[in-house]
Amino acid sequence: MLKLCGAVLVFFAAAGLGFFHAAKVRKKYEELLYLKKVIFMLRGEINYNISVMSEIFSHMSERLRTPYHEIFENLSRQMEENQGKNFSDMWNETVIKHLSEIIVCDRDLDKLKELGENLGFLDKDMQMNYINLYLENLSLSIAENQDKVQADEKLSRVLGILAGIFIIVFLW
Amino acid sequence: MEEKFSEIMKILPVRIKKELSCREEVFLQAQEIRVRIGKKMHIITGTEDKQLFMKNTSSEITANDIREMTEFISGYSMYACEDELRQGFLTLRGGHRVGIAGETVMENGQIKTIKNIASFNIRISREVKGCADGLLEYTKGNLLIISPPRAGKTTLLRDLLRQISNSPMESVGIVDERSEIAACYRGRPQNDVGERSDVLDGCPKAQGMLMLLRSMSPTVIGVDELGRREDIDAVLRITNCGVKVIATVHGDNLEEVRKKEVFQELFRDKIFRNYIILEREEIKIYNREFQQINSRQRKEAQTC
Repeated sequence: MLKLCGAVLVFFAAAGLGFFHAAKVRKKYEELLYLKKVIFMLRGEINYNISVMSEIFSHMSERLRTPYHEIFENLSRQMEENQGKNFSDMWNETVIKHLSEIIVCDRDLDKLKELGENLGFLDKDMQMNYINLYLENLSLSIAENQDKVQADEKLSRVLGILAGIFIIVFLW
Repeated sequence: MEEKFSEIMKILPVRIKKELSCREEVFLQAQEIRVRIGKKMHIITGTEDKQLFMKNTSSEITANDIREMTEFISGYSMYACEDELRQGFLTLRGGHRVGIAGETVMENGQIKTIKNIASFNIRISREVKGCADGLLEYTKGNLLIISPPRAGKTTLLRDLLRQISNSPMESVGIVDERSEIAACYRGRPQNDVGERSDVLDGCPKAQGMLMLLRSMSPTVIGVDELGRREDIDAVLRITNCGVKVIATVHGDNLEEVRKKEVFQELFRDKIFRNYIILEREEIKIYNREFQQINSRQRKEAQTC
């Protein structure tokens, strides 16, 4: 009886690990989708609101969840204080530094960094072009990830379950 | 360092700012700072044009410096300044104006924006409160201030309007087409234009005068640099409505201005009760009949 209880515990622990990993894979993918929503919001604010960047980021921070809320609040404050840093430095110190923890793909992060290098000093048309280009790249990255995420999720779950079964059989 | 120069320091390129932070005295006499790509910075005072040599970094302005300045001047938001860019200048907090030159982009025959910016001209705002002391008595009727460039007509106009505006029962409307009188930054006057002033910033003079007349019931309308036919028509219209006008025009003397075709109607109908002519050393006051009725030496504070 004790052995059976142990086996059940081992099975659920291993399967749980598999499901946990699958959820992590899904979360990374969803972060990219959320980032796309954030950039859409930025584009809309620039296009229709025509306020300065510090106001835009402050306004956006009120509507976004953690960590974007804190990131944009911080970025807006730095811009208001005008400590003599250029925009891309502030972007790297806030957005890139904090998002590197949740956006793990270097290519996605590099593209985001590149966007920061082209914000702030261009006219509206050029600004829109850069943001649209970034959104296209992000959409491609999301599309590539979509199939991979589904496969990885499935694999993680199956591996978890199989690992549980394997351990039970091995120890029985 | 004076408080207002901190706003100028904020817009300079980072590498130059670092070096100048211990040489603040270079700005104290500055009237203009000229920044041109590939050239040294020039500090223009009332009498000198000084080139700025750096000790620890290159003295020539680079493309990156221009980009940094563009970011700082526009608050990292050049796209939000396109209306001002069409005019060719932006106003900073503190009332300083930054003129911009570069490659203009045209659309339907109109300037759309400026790209590839190559030069900035930072004009440092100097308010001289009290420079109109003793001249207020000439504002009982319409008044025209005549002076050559950089002789202080806008400074005098601003102080006259400020002093009128601080009097009870007055309401001053200011049409500030080039943001030189009130120097509004995000709609708020950076210069003191008095208690009872309403400012239309960036608005064409003729339209602005009529708009203020309709909307704000002013007792006095102040306007800088009349020159176009429609400005004159607007002045005639508002004076017919019983509102006083205090205006300025470019010119070395009254005779020269009287000869200009565009102003003929104003002089023929004797619209202005007084004329103030600003010269380098002297202020002359003329009456409606173009006779000099007073003159005085300019004090240090009355020049700028």
